[in-house]
Amino acid sequence: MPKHPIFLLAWPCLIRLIIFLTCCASQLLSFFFVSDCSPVILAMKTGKRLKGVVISRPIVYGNIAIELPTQKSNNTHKWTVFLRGPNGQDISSFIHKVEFKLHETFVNNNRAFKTAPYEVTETGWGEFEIITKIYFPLSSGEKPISLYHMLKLYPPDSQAQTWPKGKPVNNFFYDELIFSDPTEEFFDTLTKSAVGPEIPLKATGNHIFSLESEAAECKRLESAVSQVTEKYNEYKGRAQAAEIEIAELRRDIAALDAAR
Amino acid sequence: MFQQKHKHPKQHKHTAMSRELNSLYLENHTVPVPLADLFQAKPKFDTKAERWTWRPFKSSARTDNLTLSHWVKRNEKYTDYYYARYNAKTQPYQYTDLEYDKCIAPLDARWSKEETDYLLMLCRQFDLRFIVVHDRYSMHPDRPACVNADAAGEAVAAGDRPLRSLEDLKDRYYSICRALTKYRAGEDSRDPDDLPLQATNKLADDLALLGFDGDKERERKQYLELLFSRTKEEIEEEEMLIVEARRIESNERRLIHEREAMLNSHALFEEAPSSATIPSVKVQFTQAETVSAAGPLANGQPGSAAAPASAFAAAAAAASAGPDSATLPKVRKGAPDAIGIDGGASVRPMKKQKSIHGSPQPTTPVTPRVKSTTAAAAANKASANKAALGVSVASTDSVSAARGSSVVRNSMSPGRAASVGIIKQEHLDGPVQFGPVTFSTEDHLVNPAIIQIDTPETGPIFIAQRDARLGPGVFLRSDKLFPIPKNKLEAVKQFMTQLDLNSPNTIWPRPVMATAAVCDRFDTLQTTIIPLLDCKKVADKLETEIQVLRARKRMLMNDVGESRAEEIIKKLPPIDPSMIAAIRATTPSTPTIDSTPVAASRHNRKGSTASSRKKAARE
Repeated sequence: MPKHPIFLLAWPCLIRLIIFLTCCASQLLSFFFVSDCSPVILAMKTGKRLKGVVISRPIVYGNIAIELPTQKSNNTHKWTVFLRGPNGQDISSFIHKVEFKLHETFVNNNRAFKTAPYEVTETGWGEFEIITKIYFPLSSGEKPISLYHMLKLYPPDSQAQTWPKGKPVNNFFYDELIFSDPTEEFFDTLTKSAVGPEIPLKATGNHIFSLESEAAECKRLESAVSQVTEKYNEYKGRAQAAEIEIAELRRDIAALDAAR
Repeated sequence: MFQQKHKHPKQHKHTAMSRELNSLYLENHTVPVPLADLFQAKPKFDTKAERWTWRPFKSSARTDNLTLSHWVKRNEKYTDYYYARYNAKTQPYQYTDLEYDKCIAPLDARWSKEETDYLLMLCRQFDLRFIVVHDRYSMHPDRPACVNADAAGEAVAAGDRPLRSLEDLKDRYYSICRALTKYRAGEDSRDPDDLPLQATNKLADDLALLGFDGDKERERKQYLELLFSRTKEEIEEEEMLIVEARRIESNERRLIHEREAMLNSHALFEEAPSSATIPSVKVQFTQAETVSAAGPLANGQPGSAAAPASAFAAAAAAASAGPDSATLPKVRKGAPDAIGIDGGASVRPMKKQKSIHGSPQPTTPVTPRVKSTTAAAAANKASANKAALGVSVASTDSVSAARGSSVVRNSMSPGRAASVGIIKQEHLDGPVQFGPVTFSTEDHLVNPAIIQIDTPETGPIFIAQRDARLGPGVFLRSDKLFPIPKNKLEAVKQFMTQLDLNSPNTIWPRPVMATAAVCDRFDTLQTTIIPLLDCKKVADKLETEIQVLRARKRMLMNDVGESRAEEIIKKLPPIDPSMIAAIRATTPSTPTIDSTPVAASRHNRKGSTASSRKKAARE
């Protein structure tokens, strides 16, 4: 039977057919089962994107570290690395999974969280780079995004001497996730999940990024800009004066040379 | 037959193979060279042997009648000694007394006839070999001593000939020859001026052959002496100087180009009317903001490494230019084309232009106006901390609540757009107000540059220009800060730490709290720092140049004398600022070793032409 000529012709077609069917099946399946298929396939099948739509969500990430009073084994500090919203609000609506990649010396150094709070608490002695990978829901069709920061355990050098024992070292970063041209589904998710003020008005407790702090930074940057422009004009003036003087000197030198 | 007492050692028959083996075996290091076959057969000739005879001969080169003998082929006829042809003899000129009196006597008073005859005799004797002639030339015709030995002591006595150098002898001889040639050529024809052309040419050739310039020869020999007698240090010094000069020449072009480029980038700043007062923070900021947004936009062009200098220059130029819109187009024209920007004035604030964003993909009917988050956020923040959704909520209320946002149109296309801006009359329905720029630090409102994008389905959309260039996807805002070229990164970072604005623990500068407002201002800051650093560099360079020039002037003043120098300087015309550009164009960055007088005179010439041109223009 395998040697039948007609069968030989049909064989490649059959193979192609089978492959196509499995593809379709997998696509259908992925609708129902949450799996981390490659984003390429996802992008192929997701809905249309809304051009010109830009949504931003603020997040805060970083770590808190505190020196352990009693030091057992090598671990001098207890630290927590986290990802949260600036006002403590719920960010899990548009985040599907968060992976913290720690140093290899930790057991299971890839810690994944599908629900809030996205935190890892550990003990250790060393500072290393932590990679926080944020996965978005399938409906968004977005690739995961990585944030990099150093785990900070020790207080900054300038204040190292006067740091009281038991005071936690905070290393927070504020950033905003910008969703550009989201898909319709994701757009709905994002808009529906917005509850409460995103950024607190004033810094309270652990939430140090506030509208106030933003305003303060804006002010500082503006004063810096004006300083810089001032200096720039100053230098420009100096350069112009210098040019005039150079022209004069050259003229004098030429005259003196000729007279010599 | 007696018994052989000593047995001959068995003679092994050595074949080639065994010989090789033995040689390897015994480690005898001599290489057995196979001898060539020593036998040579007698060569075969097809002719019979020649016959040779021992024959006496004479040579025409000899003046005595010496007869020598040599072997010759018997059949050969003997003409002359073969090598007699090489007996070259020169025929030095010979004059008659008449000729002497006519043409030679008036030539040089220092030579008497006797001496001239003596010289010619020597020349004839030594075949015009002047070195020998000079050596043999003696004061007295009877004493064939060398002149140069103990010259001062013995030689000069009354009536003796004066000391003659080699050049003197040659000079005399060749001048005699020239005079004779001329005279003899002139003798043949009646009229010495009426010689046929051929003859004159021949005459000219002959004279050229006889040309000898005693002075030049003396000079040449002097130079050779100097060259020969250089000390080792002098030679090294000369070589170093040559290398220096070559290096300066090769770099000169490059230096001039660099200087031009730097000054060109600052020419932009020159052209913008110098706002003597720094414009107020409000207005200035927005202007700068818009152009800084323009800057990143230019850089956001896909795959384009935009010339950062031009973008910076443009941005900073706009920043320093202030609210005067008329200047910005001028600035732009001067700027080298940044990629993606239309050649020509593309920044036209205050004029209402829109960029049309051709969006090929249809969008489903979403709420028709989708405004950028920041404007909405601003609105919301302004309204006493209501639900501050960082969300595009398309409510005309929020839009109207937003205080006048400056609408700066840019004909630069966003990264994805295919088409370039077209001027269209601003036409917005709804209570959107676009008033003058307002920004106040108290309310920390953010008014970024907003452009309008037209989509076919949903109509006009407002979006912050900064965001318009993003592709689809998720980003971190801090990742989308204005990129700083690597070579300036360090300097900018240092500067920022000086200003105490850096977020700690980061490689590249980033703000502490990266919200939209902060990022906008941060970008402005970056784009103003970079021209500042450049300007600093230029100012420093110019000031060092001033130091050099001052030192030189001091030197010259010492040379010329203080009072005289002051007199000269007083008389000079004052420097016209318009001449500066002309002077700048002609001078190299540093005075070169040899060219200062030349350069200075060049300056004067150029300066004068510029000023004279100006005068002409005025008249």
